[in-house]
Amino acid sequence: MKKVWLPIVAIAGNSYREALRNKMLGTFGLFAPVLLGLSSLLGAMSVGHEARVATDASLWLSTLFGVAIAIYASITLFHAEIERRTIYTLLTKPIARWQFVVGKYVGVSLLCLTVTLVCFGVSAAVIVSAGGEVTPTTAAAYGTLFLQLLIVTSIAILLASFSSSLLSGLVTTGVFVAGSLNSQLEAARNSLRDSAPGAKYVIETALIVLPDFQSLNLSTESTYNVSIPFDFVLNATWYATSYVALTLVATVFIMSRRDFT
Amino acid sequence: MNAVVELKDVAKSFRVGFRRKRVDAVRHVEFDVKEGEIFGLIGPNGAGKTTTIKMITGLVTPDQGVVRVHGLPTQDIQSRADLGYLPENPYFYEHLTAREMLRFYGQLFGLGGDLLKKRIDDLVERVGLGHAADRQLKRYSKGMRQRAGIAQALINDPKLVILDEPQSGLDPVGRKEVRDLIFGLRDEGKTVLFASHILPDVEAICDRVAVLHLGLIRGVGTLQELTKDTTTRYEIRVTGWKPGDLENAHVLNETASETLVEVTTTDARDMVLRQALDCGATIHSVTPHKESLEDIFIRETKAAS
Repeated sequence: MKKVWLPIVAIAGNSYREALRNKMLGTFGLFAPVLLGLSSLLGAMSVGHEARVATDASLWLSTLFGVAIAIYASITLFHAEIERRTIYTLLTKPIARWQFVVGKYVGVSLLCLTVTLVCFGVSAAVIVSAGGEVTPTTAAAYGTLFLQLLIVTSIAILLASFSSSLLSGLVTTGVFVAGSLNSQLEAARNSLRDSAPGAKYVIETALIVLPDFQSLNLSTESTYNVSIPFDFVLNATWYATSYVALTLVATVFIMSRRDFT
Repeated sequence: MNAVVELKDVAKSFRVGFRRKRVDAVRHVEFDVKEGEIFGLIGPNGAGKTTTIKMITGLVTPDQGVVRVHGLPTQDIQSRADLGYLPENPYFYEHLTAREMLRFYGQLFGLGGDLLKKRIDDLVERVGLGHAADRQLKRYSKGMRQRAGIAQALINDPKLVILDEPQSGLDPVGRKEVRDLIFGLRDEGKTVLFASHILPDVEAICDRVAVLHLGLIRGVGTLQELTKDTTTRYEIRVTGWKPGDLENAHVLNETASETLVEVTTTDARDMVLRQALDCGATIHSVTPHKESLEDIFIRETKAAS
């Protein structure tokens, strides 16, 4: 049993190290605290609401950075294995293709965890300096941000397993934006119910297939310090884990049928 | 001797281009590689060598036929447990040093601890990278990358080593070192399968050879079997005589002191020798030349084309 996990740990560790040594990701990492500082500035500009604006802006900017890094890292670390042909020396070792996919996914997820923790640390400093306080809801908001990044990573890896880097990046970004607009999609479905039944079915399918990022976004709750029930955290974790598992199964299915020519 | 690699009636085609046109990369390929031998796979570009190797290593699944490594089908990941593979123009993780890269690949085989550390130390010395083992691979020259690639192919101390164009991009010294390394592997009882364009090296190294062209095997055997040990021409060094209009004989080189004559038949050879001796000329040498691998390669590829 131990031997099954050894290659996964090795691939995950190598991917994580590659990300840390990657110049582009390093630059992203430098920019994150700088731009999170912007949220402090925005807070200072909104007289009387400094803490609330700083809380909201820092979570928004953290989401932006987190998603950008998750997409870039997934594509760089996964698709580049195929493009640079390093996969030839990997898959000719006694490892199964699912181990490769899971190893890569775990490596990028570790990076996402690091990014989330750094963003949470910087945001906490920004909120406190704006006169606010870091509450369990703030922590929960960053926890669900991490869940969103896990889903984004799995989608980016799925797309990178059969399409180009550019297309994978664009489609994943599109999926994230569409998944963050769930309530708008529902409203569109309801308004199109009678006038355009065809469009209604398309939107319904999108609502089923697309991940519900909006439900995982706790920016309002965090800004107004609404307490989050533990059940919500459990359900959100279960939802994200299930979505990731299904996406990874699809990736493994594609990868196990793929020839590396 | 046991067959370490077996291919039976193997075929593979790919769809290429916008119209998804079908291209047969490999057709009805059959050969086996026996334990402890150095087996060469030769053929021009596009012959199907790399596709064949990728089917053996499990990177490509054949459309038909059977590929077995150590008696196991290549879909079984255990078929790769005792296999080392160096791809053509290898790429590695540029952020890693050679030592880190070898540790990573070793871990994929479940290796670790002192055993892996010792093996890495031995390998970097063996491939001549001891001085640069802690340098990132992005700072390596092409020859150094090739050496690093050979080291990763040997990290699990495999019984079967597959090298795709291992001498590509190497200078003559590097080529000789790779050649010596391959001999060393055979001395250790390992089986080596390698594809190459550099025919003199294949000729010097291989116990058996398969000639592949347009996806088909044109011949498999020892060099003696493939060449049928036939002499195709003779070179005669002579002083004081020239062949004139003699059929099947022509001058290769002429200096003030001697003439180098080439003849392609035994009759022509005997005629040249008789005439030269009759004229009182001095015969310095008569050198028979057997068919080379290059001759077979050109003959087979021309015939197929």
